[in-house]
Amino acid sequence: MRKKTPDRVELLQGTLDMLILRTLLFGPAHGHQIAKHIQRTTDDLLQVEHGSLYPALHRLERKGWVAAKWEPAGKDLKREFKYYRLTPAGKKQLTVEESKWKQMAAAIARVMWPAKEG
Amino acid sequence: MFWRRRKLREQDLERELHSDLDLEAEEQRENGLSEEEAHYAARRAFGNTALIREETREMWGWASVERFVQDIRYTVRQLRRNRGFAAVAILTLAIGIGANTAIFSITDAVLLRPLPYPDVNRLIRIWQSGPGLFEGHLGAAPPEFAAYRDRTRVFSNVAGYEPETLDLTNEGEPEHISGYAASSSLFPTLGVQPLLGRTFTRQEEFPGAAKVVVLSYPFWRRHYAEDAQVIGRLIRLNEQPYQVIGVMPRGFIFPSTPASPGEPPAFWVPLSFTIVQLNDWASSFDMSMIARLKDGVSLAQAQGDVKRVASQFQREHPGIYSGNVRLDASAEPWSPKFGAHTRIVLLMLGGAVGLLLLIACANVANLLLARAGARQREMSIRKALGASPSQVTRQVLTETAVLTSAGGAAGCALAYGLLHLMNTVSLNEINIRAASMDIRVLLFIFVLCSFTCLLCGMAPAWMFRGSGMHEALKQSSRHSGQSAGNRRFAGSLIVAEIACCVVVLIGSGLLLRSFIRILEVPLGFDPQQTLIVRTSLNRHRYSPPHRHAIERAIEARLSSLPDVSAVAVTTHVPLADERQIGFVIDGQPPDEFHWADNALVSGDYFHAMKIPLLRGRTFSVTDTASSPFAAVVSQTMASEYWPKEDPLGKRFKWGGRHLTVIGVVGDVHVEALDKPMTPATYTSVYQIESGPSTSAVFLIRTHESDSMRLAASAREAIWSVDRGLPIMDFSTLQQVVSSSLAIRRASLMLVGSFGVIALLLSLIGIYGLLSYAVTQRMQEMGLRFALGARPIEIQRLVVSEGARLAGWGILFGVAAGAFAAQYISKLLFGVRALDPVSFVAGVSLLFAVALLASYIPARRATKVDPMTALRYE
Repeated sequence: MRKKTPDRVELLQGTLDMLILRTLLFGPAHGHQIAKHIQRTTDDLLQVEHGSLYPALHRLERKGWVAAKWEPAGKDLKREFKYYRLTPAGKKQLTVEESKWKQMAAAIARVMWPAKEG
Repeated sequence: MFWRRRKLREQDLERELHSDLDLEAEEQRENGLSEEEAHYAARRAFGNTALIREETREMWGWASVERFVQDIRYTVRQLRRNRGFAAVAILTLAIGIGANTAIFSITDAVLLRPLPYPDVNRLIRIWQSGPGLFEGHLGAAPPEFAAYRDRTRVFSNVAGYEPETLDLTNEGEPEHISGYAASSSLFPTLGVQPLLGRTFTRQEEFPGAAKVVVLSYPFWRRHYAEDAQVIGRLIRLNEQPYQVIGVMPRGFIFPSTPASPGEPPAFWVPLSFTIVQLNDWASSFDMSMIARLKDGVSLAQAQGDVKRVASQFQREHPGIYSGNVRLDASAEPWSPKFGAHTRIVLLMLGGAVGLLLLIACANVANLLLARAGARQREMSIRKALGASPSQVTRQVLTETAVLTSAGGAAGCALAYGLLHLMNTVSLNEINIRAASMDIRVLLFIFVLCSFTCLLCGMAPAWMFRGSGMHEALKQSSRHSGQSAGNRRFAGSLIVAEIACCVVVLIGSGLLLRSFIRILEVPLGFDPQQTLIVRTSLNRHRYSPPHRHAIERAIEARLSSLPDVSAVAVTTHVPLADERQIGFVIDGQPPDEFHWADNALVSGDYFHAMKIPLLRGRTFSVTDTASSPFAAVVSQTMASEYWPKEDPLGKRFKWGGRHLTVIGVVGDVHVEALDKPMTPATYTSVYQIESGPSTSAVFLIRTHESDSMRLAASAREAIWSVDRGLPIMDFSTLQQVVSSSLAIRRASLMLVGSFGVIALLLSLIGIYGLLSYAVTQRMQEMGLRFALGARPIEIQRLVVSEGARLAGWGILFGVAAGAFAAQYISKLLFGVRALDPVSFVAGVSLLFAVALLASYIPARRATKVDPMTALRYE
């Protein structure tokens, strides 16, 4: 078991799918890029573990929210990567998850900082 | 297809991981790490790739199937490596499951299988009883049936039926066939349509109507080869033409079921009553009644309604229902008639095999526990390598499931064999051949196996779940084994097992003692060397004088055969047939009825049966239809009705006849050997005409030890007098006695063998547990020896452990046995349910076996060489 660095926040259950879908909104990407993107955008606060990334990608693929294709990387034609692309169903799912997340965040906020209300 | 797709997916994932891993390494190199460092850094970043692969695979939903196959493969490999363990476990389970399956399939056929009538739970049996006069179910007289049919308000239909035998005299040899005479309402009550033609109408019930008959499927098939042209044909029954109007569907054999003994009914004819019969409230009580409840009516309402009708017609006929002639009516859900005893026997057998299965489960659970102890390290290592507790549990349960499946399959085969074996036993009460391994039985096996699997697998699975991996890994290999808690658990399994075994042993003991007691009951006649030939002289063909002439001629012809010492004719054979008559004793009120067994016999009957004549004389040629009616009474009858008086010359009235007692003979058990002696009266077959006098049973006492040898010459002798007589059956009196005890013998044999098996399993269980414990405590034993313990002390240590377990088991077993014995008290004869002999015998047998089982490991413990045992450390 690896030790977790204390300054990293653990991903909330179910949010990884949403983050992946959101990342793919910029365009097709392969697994490594997706992980790196999430890490970079959150200033390394959210560390995507490979152990959860690949199962998540395959789960999304199975559900039809992303489609995958082996394509050569831009600069080097000899190397191929498995690029994931958002499908129309995936886009729809992203909005669903997003609104769910917003509701959730708002609900948590109301509990945590009740003074803001009224 | 599935595997191919899976393989492609696998390759795809492999490639993906590889490419991303390379990329990661590349980035690390760009950060300035060396080739090798970068490689490792990338690996570190990815973590356990095997785990990633596994979890990703799970996302595709194959993992569960795959894991299942993997678990099974692993289990089979494991079991192959431990053939001895697997064989013992599978055999034990097979015995438990096989015995349960066999008994269930019989119980199912007799008690549980639904009857082939629509809305069968709305069918009601109406029956009468005569409180203080006649115990048990009493049929109805024709006017009583008419009252229930016409005056009750809760039933949509009420039907009556009674057994009827007819001689089919159509073609060739006459055949004696049995069926039922039923009211036309029978078929609508049951809600069954004929397969061909129609059923009879109300008009056809009237005495003058043309005779019609409805055939059963089995009879139609046997006699008419399923020819549909039979409808409308005339056949001769009892010398009279009957028109075949219908054939019932295949499964319809009302009121029998496949499990009923004897042949299914061949026909149904209308039950017709003359005006005289319809006004005769008193003389016959042969009719059974079945009714269908109207919608929305409860059983309690039906009960009230039939009681109302019964009390109504009794008030209307005070001349008939007076004195001790009183009727009580009752309604209960209809079920085929199997004796209450049959039900108890089946429940008892079910209980015994249930206990047997529990014993088998305890043994297998202990085997698994012992193995689990040895595999503690293996499991801990599996856990350390990342197996979750649920995976370990699943592995253990898979092992148990594989064992129980194998046990179930073997048990299925065993049950099949057992049923075949039991098919050879013929019982008077039920037809075991009706039991078959159908889909219901297979379902039962499945449920039983699942239950067994859980029962056996739970303990070891729980044990692994709880074990922390650190402790187990820290243990050295020789220390590994069962913890104190597990040992205690294994011990309590043995205690439960012994308790179950004690219950079965006590039950076997009680049945055995009852059986011995029954064999000690004096029959009242000598069953040796006597042949029985059953024939029938139907009333339409033979007028009484004609019948008498033929019977006398046959008696004479049979007497002249070599090796024959006595010949007699009777209508009823004790322990096989019974009939009771109601009579009034002269000098007592005319409405004070009594009951006695009756048979119509010839004068030599008592001589041929070797029933002692105590006083007076038996029937002679002077007792004819024109002379005063004579009766021979049994000793019980004489002492019950004429105590302290000379019974000879006393008179009683039966069905309008005055009979005079001419002789007193010894008592004979008529109904069954385990029933109390009842009064009996014999009348002369040559003097009195009565319903059953058409049946003629010839008794032939021989000098031959095997009286069956005379069968051929007896047949010739009978047919030389009348070629047209149907000979229904040859048997010996010994066979009659023996078959009256058949169900008792069969249940004793079954419970007894279950007892033996239970004892063997307990022996194995105790032995296994103790020898395992001895192996575990080798060093302790060595240490004790080194410190000066004597072998006898070590031996005592082990044996006392066995005795302690047996003691607890016996304690619980005796308590449970005392409880269970109450349930079978109706099956016991001559012993109390709490018979001390049976209890002590069962307990001592078990205790002896327990000591034997502990002695062997105890001896092994004394053989421990202290040096070896200590060096072992």
